[in-house]
Amino acid sequence: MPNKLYNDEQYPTPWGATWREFKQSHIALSGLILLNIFILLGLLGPLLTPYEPYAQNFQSLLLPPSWQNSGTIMHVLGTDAVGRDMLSRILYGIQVTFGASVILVLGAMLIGVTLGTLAGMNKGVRSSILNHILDVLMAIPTLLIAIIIVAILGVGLSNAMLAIGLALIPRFVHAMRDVVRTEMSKNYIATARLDGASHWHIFYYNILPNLVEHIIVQATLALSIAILDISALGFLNLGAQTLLPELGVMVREGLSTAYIAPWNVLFPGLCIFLLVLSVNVVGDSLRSAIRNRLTH
Amino acid sequence: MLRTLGRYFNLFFITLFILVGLSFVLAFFFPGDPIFNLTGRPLEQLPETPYTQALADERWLVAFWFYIQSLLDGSWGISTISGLDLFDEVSTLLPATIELSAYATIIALFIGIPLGFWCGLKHHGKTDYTFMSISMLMSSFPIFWLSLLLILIVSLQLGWLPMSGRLSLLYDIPHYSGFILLDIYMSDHPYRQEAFVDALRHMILPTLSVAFLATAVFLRTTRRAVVDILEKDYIAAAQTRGIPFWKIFLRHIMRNALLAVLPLLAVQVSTLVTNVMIVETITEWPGLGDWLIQAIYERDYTAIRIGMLVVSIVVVLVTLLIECLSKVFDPTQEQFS
Repeated sequence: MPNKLYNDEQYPTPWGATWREFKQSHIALSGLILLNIFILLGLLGPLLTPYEPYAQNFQSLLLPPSWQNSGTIMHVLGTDAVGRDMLSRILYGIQVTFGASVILVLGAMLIGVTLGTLAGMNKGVRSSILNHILDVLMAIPTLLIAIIIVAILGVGLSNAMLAIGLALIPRFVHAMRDVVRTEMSKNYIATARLDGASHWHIFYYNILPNLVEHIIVQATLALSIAILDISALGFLNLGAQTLLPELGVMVREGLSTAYIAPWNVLFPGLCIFLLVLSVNVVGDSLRSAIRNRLTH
Repeated sequence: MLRTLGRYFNLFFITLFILVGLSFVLAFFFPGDPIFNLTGRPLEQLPETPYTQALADERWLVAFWFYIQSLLDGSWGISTISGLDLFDEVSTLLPATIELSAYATIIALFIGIPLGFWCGLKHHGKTDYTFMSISMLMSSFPIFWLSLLLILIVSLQLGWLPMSGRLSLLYDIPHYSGFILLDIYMSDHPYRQEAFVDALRHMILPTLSVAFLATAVFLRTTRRAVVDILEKDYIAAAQTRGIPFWKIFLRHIMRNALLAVLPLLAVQVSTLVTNVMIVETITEWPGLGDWLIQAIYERDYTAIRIGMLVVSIVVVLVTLLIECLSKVFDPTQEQFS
């Protein structure tokens, strides 16, 4: 602190307080580190890969991982049925699966938060009907929406993203509506109203700052759902197609040789598992950090 | 209470109407002729009825009215690929799916909720942290990978349990209700006992993979509810009055925690159904999910239309039922707003 004359008390910002609670837990920190590693791998993956993800090598089919007796260090995680390097494909797969999930969650978040705020700030019969129908739509399983979208538009990663995004929007709407409604009933909003603040002003200066944390918590929840669903649709051949190195697709491709080369099923699935785990740990720790900050 | 019931009844019928309308409109969005998508036959082969007349004249609103009637009659059209009647198909497949989901949910409830209570009562202790970490690991599993791993390890490597299907072909059990255990029980097959054991062995892997994920969710929600209730003032008040702990637990903690868990279960229904559908495809369980995913591979649009309608109606019905129950039991909850 350079310009500090007196030892006056320091009040941390809300984010600072949340971070202080967050870093209390070792599990939370390791989850955050793992998530950052995945983000880095997703961004830098193509620069790190030793092989092209599509490069087939007929000299080395179904090589086991390097720590087994017949494996080589040239292919650290072994190769698949057409001799493609597993490690390179997984690094590309992180980019495809994680990147697609992040993009679709951002899209769903934007639409969902807008609709949820509108639903929460307005009252009356119209918003009530909208709310209940949205709640019911939330009950329709993602896979069903994906099947309908695929039947209309055909298969492909972008259609899978569209389907999962559509399924996630009601979740955001639901969560945001409840938060906005509780905030709207508080006194500081009434004060702002009495001061003559417009709807937009109230939203931007009063509601939104209180909303950001909830949005982030919801986004981490949605992200783990999105990763699981994107890879599940890829696995079912309803999402990303065979050529694309998507993690779920890789599990499906490994299935045909699962008996002689189980690592082809094991590693992509393990990668999805760790990815979802890191997102879940960070989201859950963030939630409890915010809860602890508010109760202390 | 009657008011709540009435409003849920209304809501169910409005959504039912929307879903039926959606399934009618979908026939126009799917590739190909809408009439073919609705009935499974080209127009020339259809019998002369007011419904086909309306379809032929392109009076769609009238056709929609007849479409609702045909849905209620049970004449849902035929599959474009296999030519089988869709109503018969669905009525044999739906029990299998309900069976799998019901057993998985029951297992998850009986393991997840007691463990959740235990963790919640001992929160911030060692057991609590252990179970919380385990449930975090469990809920991060991709369902298809988990199911594959179980098959690879338990069926292929160890050879303990059958890989796929619902019953060994050796046992010819007549179709009666569609619920396999009930059917075997009702039948007079000479090897009834063995067939029952065989059906159970087939059931273990798919049920466990679905229950695995659901248990983790139930554990976490129950624990959260219990921890929240322990901080309430009425618990402290009861403790200062010197009421024994088991009495506080039964009268205050358990009842309130279960009420808080109930609406959260409603949110889980759609995840459960997605998981069941994926597991059905992997283990070739002859249920609606497997059938629907086969239908999309074969582009069987009549089957997709009916399958989507049936699954979504069942899911919406179950969700609304749970929500309605929780509102009826718990008058403090926010009423219709």
